[in-house]
Amino acid sequence: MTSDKYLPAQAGLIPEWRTAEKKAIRVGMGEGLVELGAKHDDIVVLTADLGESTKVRAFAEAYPDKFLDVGVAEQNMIGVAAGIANEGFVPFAASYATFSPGRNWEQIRVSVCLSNANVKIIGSHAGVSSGLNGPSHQGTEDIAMTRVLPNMVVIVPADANQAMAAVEAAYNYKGPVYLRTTRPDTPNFTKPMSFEIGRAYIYREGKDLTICACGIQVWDALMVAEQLAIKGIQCEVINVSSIKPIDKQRILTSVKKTGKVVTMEDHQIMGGMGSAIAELLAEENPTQIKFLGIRDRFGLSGKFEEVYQKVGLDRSSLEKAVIDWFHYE
Amino acid sequence: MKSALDLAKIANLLRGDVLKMVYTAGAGHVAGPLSSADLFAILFFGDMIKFDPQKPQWEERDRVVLSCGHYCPVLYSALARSGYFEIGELKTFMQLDSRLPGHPERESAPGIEVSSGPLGQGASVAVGMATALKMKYGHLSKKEAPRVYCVISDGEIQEGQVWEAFNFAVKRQLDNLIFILDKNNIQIENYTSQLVSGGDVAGRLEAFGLHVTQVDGNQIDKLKEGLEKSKLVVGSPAVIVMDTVAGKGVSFMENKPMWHDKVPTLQQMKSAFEELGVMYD
Repeated sequence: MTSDKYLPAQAGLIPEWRTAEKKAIRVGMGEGLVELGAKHDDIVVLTADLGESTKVRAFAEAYPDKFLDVGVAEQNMIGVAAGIANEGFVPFAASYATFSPGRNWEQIRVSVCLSNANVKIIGSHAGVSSGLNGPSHQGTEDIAMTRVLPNMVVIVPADANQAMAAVEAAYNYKGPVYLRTTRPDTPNFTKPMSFEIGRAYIYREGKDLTICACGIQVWDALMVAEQLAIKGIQCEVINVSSIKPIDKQRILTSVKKTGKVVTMEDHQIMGGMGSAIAELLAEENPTQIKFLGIRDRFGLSGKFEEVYQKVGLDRSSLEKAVIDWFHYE
Repeated sequence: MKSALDLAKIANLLRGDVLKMVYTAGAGHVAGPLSSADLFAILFFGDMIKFDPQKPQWEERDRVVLSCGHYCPVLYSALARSGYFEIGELKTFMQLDSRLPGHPERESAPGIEVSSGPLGQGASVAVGMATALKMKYGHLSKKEAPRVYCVISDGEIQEGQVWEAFNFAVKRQLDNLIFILDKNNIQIENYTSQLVSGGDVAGRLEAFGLHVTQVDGNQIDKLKEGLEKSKLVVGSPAVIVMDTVAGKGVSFMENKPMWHDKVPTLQQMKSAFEELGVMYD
């Protein structure tokens, strides 16, 4: 594996990353599963009546014998997945994040995590970016719920390419993994490369401020960083797609250099990726942090971009929040 | 082949172990392990299941899933007495660093297939295992293919997850799966029939599409016959509704919800062992 030391930060991005084609992260996850199914015959994919919208339907069509739709029963889905894992298969169980891990958290806790069962959980429609269906269907607490569980790995891919790689990394890892995906078409801007669990990806170097982001906020963070550069603020942008385990070394090295951190995520600020960064820094290198995310409120129905404006996750709100905080501090 | 009388004696040995474990730990559950001891005697000592204590991971073994995890003292006792580990280890029940925790944890000791305790979860895991076994052993005959036996309790079926599991098992036609429902009519705070899962349980299970056999779960012959018949069912999962006596074998514990999880006194222990015809050492 080539080290960051020898590569420019932007090596992780495709050259035309600013204008990258849009593709939903959930689609990347679905395609990743189909590719994986061609290589390994021990994969089983489960869903609770949400095969199409989680995009695991493609796997069902390619490998119908390895696909189980349990009906609208997320608790049973996780138990069945655990039983299948106990027998040596590698199950991927897909639903909306708000139902799984939302509705079946205790099943995940005991049947999966306490047993260290080799179950992969795909939570789609995460964040308020899922938009139109409203807050009951927007999973804004799933990172908190999964990362608190012993034995659980938590991965939030930044785009479809990374989702495809993450699904393979999840397969190769023995133990429970949570994979978070989102609904809207968003820039597919990272270079296709293998995904390393526990590694943060630095996409831009800077000395004034570290932006830690995950999911579709990573691309926004890069765009914000370009605007801030014009104003004389040099941001280092880190894709913290592996929230647990977290890349202590890369994050600490960056923060020791910049002395300031902003976190960006489409998730409740309480318990999310920002909290994971805060826990790390509070113990190892106390640092000022600005948390940008969902601040103790529910989302609302609306188009993705409109909802983002309302909750302050659109790019201009993010940019303003970073600048205000940077100058205030 | 052990006679019904032999198995009844073994069941009382298991009951004695359960009481000793709970007494020594100063905690644990009594009534359910006692009501289901005859079942565990049949499963592990009655030539009912395929297993090899020397090879707990033997691929073609039958799987015993204890979904009502609080019954674990009787499972631990059956595993120890059938040779998975030393009987002396039962003393460590619930103690720090023991392989026999307060509720089962998968593979903490050999023979423990599934983590359970939060009711309903084991039923789904058993369904998942049976689904996977169908994928792996579809080529084997019904007689040769491994089965899953899943023990659930009548309080447990108040959890909706159990019914989700039944739905899926029926849809998948899992005839390699036998649920055994211990209908002992008590739970932690009440008689089950006075709460929400009493009444015609067998009728409801039948309506869900399971093959139902209702037997007296404390009659070795009847229960054994029911289990053997359930093995032959084709095209659907089976369930044995066993009517049992909570706290069976110890008169002052029988049919009393308070003995769901009460720890006996030394005096009560002595009198219980006398009734069970088991040596108290």
